[in-house]
Amino acid sequence: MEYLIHLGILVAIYAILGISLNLVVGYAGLLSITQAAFYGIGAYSTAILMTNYGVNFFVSILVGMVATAIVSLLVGFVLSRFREDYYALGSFGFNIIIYSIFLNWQSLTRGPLGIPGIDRPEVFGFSFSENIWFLVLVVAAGALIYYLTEYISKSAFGRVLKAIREDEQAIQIFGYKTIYYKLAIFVISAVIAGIAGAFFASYITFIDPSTFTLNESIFVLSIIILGGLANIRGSILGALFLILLPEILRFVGFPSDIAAQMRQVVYGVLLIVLMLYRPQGLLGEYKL
Amino acid sequence: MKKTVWTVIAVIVIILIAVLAQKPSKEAATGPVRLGGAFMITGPAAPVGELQQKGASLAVETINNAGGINGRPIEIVIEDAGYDPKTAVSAYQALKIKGLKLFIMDGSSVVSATHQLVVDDGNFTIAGGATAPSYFDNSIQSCRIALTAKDFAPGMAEILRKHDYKNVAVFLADNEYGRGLASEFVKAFNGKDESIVVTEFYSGSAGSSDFRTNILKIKAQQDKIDAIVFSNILTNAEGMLRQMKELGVNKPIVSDNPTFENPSIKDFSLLEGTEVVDYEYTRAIQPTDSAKVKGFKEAYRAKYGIDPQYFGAGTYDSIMLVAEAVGKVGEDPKAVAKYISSLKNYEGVTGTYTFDNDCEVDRTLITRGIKNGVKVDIK
Repeated sequence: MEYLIHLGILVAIYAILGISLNLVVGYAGLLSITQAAFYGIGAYSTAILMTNYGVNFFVSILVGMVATAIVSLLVGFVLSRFREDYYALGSFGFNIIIYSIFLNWQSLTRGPLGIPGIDRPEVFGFSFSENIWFLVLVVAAGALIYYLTEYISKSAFGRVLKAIREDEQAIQIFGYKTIYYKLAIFVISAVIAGIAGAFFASYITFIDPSTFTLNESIFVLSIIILGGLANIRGSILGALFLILLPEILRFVGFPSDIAAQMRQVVYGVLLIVLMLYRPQGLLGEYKL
Repeated sequence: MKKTVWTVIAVIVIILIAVLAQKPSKEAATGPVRLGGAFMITGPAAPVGELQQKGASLAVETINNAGGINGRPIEIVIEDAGYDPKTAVSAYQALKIKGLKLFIMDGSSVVSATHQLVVDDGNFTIAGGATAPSYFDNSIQSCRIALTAKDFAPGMAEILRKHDYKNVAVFLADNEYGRGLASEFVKAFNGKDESIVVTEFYSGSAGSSDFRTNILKIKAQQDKIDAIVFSNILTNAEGMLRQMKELGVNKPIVSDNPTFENPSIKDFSLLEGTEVVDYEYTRAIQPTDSAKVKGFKEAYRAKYGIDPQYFGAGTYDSIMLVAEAVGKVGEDPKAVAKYISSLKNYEGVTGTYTFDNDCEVDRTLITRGIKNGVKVDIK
């Protein structure tokens, strides 16, 4: 049961991350490959505040949200001037910069040594140290984020984002300053990714820069492409699929000396097959 | 389509629940003794994981051929922990639901993420090669037989002093081990007139292959330095040494066991003249080897066609330690931890171990060197 709870927590964290990226890529059509950077900022903010200053998780998550908002505002301001491939390349570069900061600002992040011993959340004397309670907490946060993002996607603001995605110049003719919309959704997305990072740090209790590389951004992008762009439920489905599938393959019964390699092969083949038959993703409404 | 998708997902979840709902198998006292192995089979440290698997497999075979543990066979269930905290926790949880309580886990990222879980669950784990400082946790349920940067750095400083090298360059990986070694070396090499002229950290990422920028920065200071403190446990080590040679870096190198045992270094002439702080263990059979060590090296060579490198041998020792403990005190993880942490002068194949109150090992380090492309002991 504990293993299932563990997987449930990972799915919930990655679903939050997927939802956050879907806002930018799916709804606004901006190919951002930098989600791991904001995920990392949220994780490091929480880890540093909790381990160095004894700050409560819920306070540190708020500080992390503010930190990701500030950083994403600055980055988003620059990125908002780019389009299409240039946007992707710019975001790609930002992920590398943030990763380098995690690695090299050792007085703050401890660099490659990582930060161990991050506590679980506590509120009014109640600790979420049991995994089941941590799952309840992260699912509750995920549900809140789900409804918030569903609301955003169906609001007038969400409709403008979709219009930007379809034809940015056309909507500019109607007087919309698209740069502000792009910036706003980028910041909202980053803040949500930061929340996922805070949960990740507190759950795994150890973080180091290797978790927040470009590979992680590509993994989150895979979640939303597989689940379906511009569909919030698609992000949850993508996380469910990409987190659970390799775990199920642990129990297939491959010979132990080749099991890990076989898992990767089967995992890769299944993804290729899926993309061949559902290129728009499982629940996708939009194709890159 | 949406219905189909949700149906597929429902099936996946049901399969998962069905698999996981099975109670952890509790073997009778006559069934096999089962250990869990979380190794780095994929990811940037996969070559090390492969050696660990080989060492584990040989240990299991050796024990079973000798009649098992008190007549019971031993079995190791292996899961891939990648070199990633998230995968490591998943691997540990997967092993746990298979009913395992005694673990062999390795790799700094892996043990940093899992050792507290193991301790909190009342289980036991031992690491053969992890060097993470976070593993110093005051718990005997998480043991380690590898030494860390804290031990290697003073040895490297001693070699430098022996040669009267006062000014050095430090060239290490920008990873957990390299940074730790650099910080410990600063503490160890702080005598009168001793100075670190230049420190360069190269990328610790698996794909990095061009280190000329770092090397040229060291070369620019070559006239001011007497030696280079160098370590590389990654797959790019031989390429890096070639680049140093090509660019004319010709100062003596002082290094450590992880570099010396790096599976990717095939051409030892690139390390000619290097002196290394090393474990007593060597992969080739030595005239001084005990019957136990010689038997291990011969069996490894017969099974895999290569000499056993330290990482595989360390995993072999880890399993042998756990097997001995189970034979003496049974499978209760706390009893196993108590037994192993109280061992003094245990003869493993990679050296002689004495454990402290944190179940960290105390073992001998020696100096070795490369002369005419061959590893030799240095008195």
